[in-house]
Amino acid sequence: MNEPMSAPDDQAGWQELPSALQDLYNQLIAAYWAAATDEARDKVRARAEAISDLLSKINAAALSKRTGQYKQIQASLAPMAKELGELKDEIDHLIRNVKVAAQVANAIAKVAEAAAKVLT
Amino acid sequence: MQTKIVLGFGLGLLLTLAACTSPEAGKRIDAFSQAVALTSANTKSAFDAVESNYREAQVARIVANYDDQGFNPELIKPFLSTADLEARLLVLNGLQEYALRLSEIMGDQQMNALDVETDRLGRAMQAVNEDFVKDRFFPKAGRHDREVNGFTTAINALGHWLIDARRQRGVKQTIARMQEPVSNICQLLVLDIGPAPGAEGVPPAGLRVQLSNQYKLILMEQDAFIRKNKGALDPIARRNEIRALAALVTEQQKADATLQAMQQAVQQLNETHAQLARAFSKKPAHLDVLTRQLVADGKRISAFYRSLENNDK
Repeated sequence: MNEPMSAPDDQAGWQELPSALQDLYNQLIAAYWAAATDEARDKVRARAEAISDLLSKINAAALSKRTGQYKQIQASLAPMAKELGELKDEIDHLIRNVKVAAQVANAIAKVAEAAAKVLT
Repeated sequence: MQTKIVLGFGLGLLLTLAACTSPEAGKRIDAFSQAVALTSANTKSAFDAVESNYREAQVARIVANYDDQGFNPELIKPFLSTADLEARLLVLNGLQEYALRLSEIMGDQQMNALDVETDRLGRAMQAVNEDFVKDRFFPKAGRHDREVNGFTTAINALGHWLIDARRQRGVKQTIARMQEPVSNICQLLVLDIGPAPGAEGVPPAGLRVQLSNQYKLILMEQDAFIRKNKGALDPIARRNEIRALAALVTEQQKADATLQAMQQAVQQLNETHAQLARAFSKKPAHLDVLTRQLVADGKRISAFYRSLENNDK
């Protein structure tokens, strides 16, 4: 995992740092492909790798800053799922009532059949 | 006679009410559920793809620098922490579960169960001995089976109407209450995906920028590997390595275009959810168009991420 970087919003310059680093990275990449010798390419590559690490850390930190908001939303989703589960149960209960009525009618039919045999 | 008229009127009324329900709403909500499932799965794939590409960049760098720096397991680290990734996956799972439950409630399963039970009720009542019990159940309604049929049909129609009315009310309320969380999730995901690489006036942050930077690094490291080993590679192996470099450029463009499409799909998911309460109206044309488009985009995005997975195998 990238080590979290502190990213205080109130510090002047912090907002501009990622853009400045990104510009530098883009220029280093362009310089790499434009370099005439292997030696020059390797020197540029080493610097680009270091800047790439920094940019990744800054980017991961920016994403990490939103994690708390995701957790808050997650907490608000649970009651909704419960609510929909209860609604489904309520409808199932209505169906169960019809099922019970069918069972009662079945039982009556059996009793009636038995009684009819005795009484006729 | 009077009882028959009342029964007939009641039955007619119930059948009319049952006919007022919207059977298309279930299909629309099911389509929305499918769209949410696709968008959520694709968003997970997007995070996976960036993570996997990050690992690939680290490996390319280790390979290019191996002669000078050797190998150290500490050099391989994930881009995002498990906690950061898990928070997002949990929310996406929650969103999927919400859509699935909506679809379950609006589906045919419960209506079919009701039909089965009312059918059983009808058959049980038919089975009651005609001469002995029917006199007690329907002493004034006559002795014919059609009263029993009418009764069970009415129970069935009433059940359909009650279920439909209850679920419409419940589902509409839930959709309304879910609009804010859905909107917040979509906004966060849009921010996570971030601006296009090189976009002016916005901080270079998000998955698109990260992925672009990683591809640039991979290209550079693979080029360094080819240069360092130019004497050791036979012409065919060298050609394959150079071809792989060129293929990476195309893959980078496709990967960014897919993330952009993903971002649009997330925005559209929010818009579609806002229209979802209209699923119960007669002609929610805009909702239908949005849902169809969302499913089509979702399938295209999914195909790209599957192709990346296949490349890894």
